[in-house]
Amino acid sequence: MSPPLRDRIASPLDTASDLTLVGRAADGDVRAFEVIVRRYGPLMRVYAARVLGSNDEMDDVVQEAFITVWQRLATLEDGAALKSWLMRIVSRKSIDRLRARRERADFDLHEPLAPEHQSPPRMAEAHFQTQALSRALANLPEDQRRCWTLRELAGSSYVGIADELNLPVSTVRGLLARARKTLLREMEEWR
Amino acid sequence: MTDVLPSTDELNAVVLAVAGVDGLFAVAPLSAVLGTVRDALTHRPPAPHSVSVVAHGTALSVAVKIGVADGYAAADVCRRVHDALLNHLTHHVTNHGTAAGTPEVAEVAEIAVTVARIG
Amino acid sequence: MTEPREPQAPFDAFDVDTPEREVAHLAGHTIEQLSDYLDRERTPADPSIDESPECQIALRSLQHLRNVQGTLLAQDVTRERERGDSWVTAILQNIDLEAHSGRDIPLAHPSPSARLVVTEGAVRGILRATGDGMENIIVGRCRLHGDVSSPSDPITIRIDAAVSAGEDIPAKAHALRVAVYAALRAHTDLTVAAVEITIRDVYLPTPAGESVDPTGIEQP
Repeated sequence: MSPPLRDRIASPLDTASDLTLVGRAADGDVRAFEVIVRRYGPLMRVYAARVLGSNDEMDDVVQEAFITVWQRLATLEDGAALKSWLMRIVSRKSIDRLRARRERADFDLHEPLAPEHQSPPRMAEAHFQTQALSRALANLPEDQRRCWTLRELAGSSYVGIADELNLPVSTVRGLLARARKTLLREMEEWR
Repeated sequence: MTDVLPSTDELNAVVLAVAGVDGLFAVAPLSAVLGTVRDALTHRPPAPHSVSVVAHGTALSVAVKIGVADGYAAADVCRRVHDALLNHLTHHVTNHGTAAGTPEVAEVAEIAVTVARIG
Repeated sequence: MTEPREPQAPFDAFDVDTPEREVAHLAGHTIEQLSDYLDRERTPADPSIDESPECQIALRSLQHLRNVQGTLLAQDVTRERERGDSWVTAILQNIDLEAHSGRDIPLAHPSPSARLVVTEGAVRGILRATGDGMENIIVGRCRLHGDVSSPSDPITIRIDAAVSAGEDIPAKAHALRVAVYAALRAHTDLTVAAVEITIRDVYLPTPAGESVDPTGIEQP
């Protein structure tokens, strides 16, 4: 069955609440699902790219996440909690992808991934700082970056992160502390 | 036996000619509709967006999934699709089945019409 | 308790490998505790943090890090929003539209060979479309309660809806109910005992030209 992709016209659905959209999409409404994809997809893409440390597999991961979302929407009890549910699903897909990557190539994952942009810091201070943070994040060891991204971008709790990564909460705390201190220290150098 | 089965193209055209039908969808899983014919289907490629026709013994079974256009009553359109198919198949059985002296396809056992989308 | 810090020297508390220095330099606190304190918006106020110059330095740095990461996230999301549409199309083409088709709802026909049904998914589509045809109401989740496989068994339709702020809710619900009965009569053989409408949400109509960012990502 090919999806009835219709012309995109402004619709009251564009501004409908998550609750309404979740109800409709769970009932099979592709238009409501599309609004959800457009509303949260960009954030999920950014998130996946940060967890993966690159843009390479971002499209695949986000697509897999949304296919799961479509299948399981009816199980989401509280439609208003859509955003954190989506972030959990994309986290899981990103982490699965990292695991698969590790199984494929038995290389040292703590080797920093090449930062995406290495442009010279000849730009406005704010821009310079965001670029520097972007690089610093890319240079974090993978386990720290995962914890930091889950905490700061997905807004997960310590316990939530521990569940997600199958780690003791104490380990999560330790990894987050190291990630934060590394970033804080790097930031001191930007001044 | 396949020679006497009506072509799916022909049946698709019959269905799409019914006022109010604005699309065909893949019929799946066919085994659920037709039960015992599952074995005959295992080597088939993924179901196309079309009418599905299966001869089971001497009986012909047809299944189709349709979309109904805005402004039409789905129940009426669904019944008209059934009637159009029955009419077409009855002629087909008469012309090919008995005329060719092949008893394989002697009757129309089932015409399953599913309305999968409205408007 | 701590010596004045060299202007260019790294702040000891941020030293990754020496957790004991962290606590010693932060009036007994850890970076994690300070970070949680910021998460709580510094309430309830903790004098041992608020009155420690070192903690204040660390808090300022943490806050600065958050600001930068907020800007970075906003930049990244804006860039993703401005990207082409192909990724949305790819997602919509890969979802299984049959996933929500639900139960088969039979339609009567005198012919013994006829097996005619409307899917539950298609019926829910009609209910949504009925609401979409009316102003200032959006139909959300729809449920068909009862045995839909037997047309003579009365069923109950439950519909969640959102209405635009300022609407007369009972009048809107009544109009939707009337339209739903008519639509179900036209498209199905269902015997409908009741149409229950719950208004779960009131939304503000968006003035033309104003964009909303419902993801709640703040632009620092």
